[in-house]
Amino acid sequence: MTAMTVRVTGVEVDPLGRDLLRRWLVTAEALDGGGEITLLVHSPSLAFRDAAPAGRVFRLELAEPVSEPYAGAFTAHPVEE
Amino acid sequence: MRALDRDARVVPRAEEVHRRAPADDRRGLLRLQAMAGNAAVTALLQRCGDEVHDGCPCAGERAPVVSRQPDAGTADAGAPKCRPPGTRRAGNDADSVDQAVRDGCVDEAFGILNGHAIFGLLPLLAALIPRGSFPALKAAAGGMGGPRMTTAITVAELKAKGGTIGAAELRPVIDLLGVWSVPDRRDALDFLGKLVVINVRGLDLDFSYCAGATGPGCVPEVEKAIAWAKKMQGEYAACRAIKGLKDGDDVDNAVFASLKKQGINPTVAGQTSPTGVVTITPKPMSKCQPILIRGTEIHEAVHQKTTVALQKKFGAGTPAFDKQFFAPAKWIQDDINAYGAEIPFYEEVLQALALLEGKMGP
Repeated sequence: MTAMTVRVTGVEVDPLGRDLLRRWLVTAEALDGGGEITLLVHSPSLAFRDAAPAGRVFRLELAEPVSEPYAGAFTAHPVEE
Repeated sequence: MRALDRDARVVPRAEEVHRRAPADDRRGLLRLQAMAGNAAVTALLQRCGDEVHDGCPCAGERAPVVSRQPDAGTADAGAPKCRPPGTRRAGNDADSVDQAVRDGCVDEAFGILNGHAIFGLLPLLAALIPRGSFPALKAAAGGMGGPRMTTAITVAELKAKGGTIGAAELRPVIDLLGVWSVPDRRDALDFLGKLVVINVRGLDLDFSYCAGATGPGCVPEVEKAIAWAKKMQGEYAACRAIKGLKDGDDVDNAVFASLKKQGINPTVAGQTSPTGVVTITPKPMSKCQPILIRGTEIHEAVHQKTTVALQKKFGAGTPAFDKQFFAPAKWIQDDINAYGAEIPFYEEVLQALALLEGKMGP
């Protein structure tokens, strides 16, 4: 399991249509290690328990090895700033 | 004053020096020849070439390097023929492109053309079509401007033909426009006088979504999207019969497992790099992508509405919120509703496409 703190920087319908179930592409900036992670999700509001996650900070726990973009299971917990 | 006048007359201006210098040099040599004789002139001019002989006045020199000199008789002698884009005829790109092509400066011409957005490029190309340089420009368009330029030329030529543009003329263009962005497609249709728009739930549909001369329109893809949404409604509904689902993740996993069992992999195949990073293969953009994107947004709006309603009722991030949010029955229903919201949108799109087909003309 990989854990990281990220700030969500972008939410858009995946323009490349890579996954029929996870049609949204979320871009997030890793705050603890630097760099960027992209996640394919079914619904940004469900995945982050937030109707508008862009700009907010979350602690992510990725269940599978990081891929580009990441399309596996993960949990997101909001981090208060 | 007179002396000054005389001096002013004899001293040429800089540009005159530039133009007349070779003639003056020749006269200077003739004067030297007259005064000092041929030997003096020979000593000045003779070069030995590859063989050096004793007594030759240039025995110690290297062979002269011969290079072409600019025509001293023209005003811009010495100036490079090709120039940075935009510096040839300020404010007149049609003239600049035309002249650049005539001078063999194809790079310069396409430097100007490629810098234009479609709404500016199309009238510019239309202005160039009657020019003598246009055949050369068109011949170089694929290599210098790519498919964007060749398609733009096709659009400009169709417009230049004049007359009514009917379906027979428009459909080949629709085939080409499919890979363009939505604003560019709209600008092309507007330029042709064929911009007819039907708005469906925030999405402007135009002829670019219709069938081309060879390629299909968006009808098959939208029908596939309807079928997928209905299938997914069924998949989520089937989860109601599964016992032991604890939360939303379990529901999603059950749906995924069911699809896998049917041989459906919702993720497009990826590649694993030597370092173990998986890169999921992108699908090529399709001309119907904007319809599918809008459908996905409509789907998400349902989830957003549910999330906001639960936050209002229980407070964001509270245990009561989480309990409701992840409850399997609620999770299942929310996705059935979300896929259900896509279906009427796609059905309206199909109706709009049928209307557009009817409006394209003969």
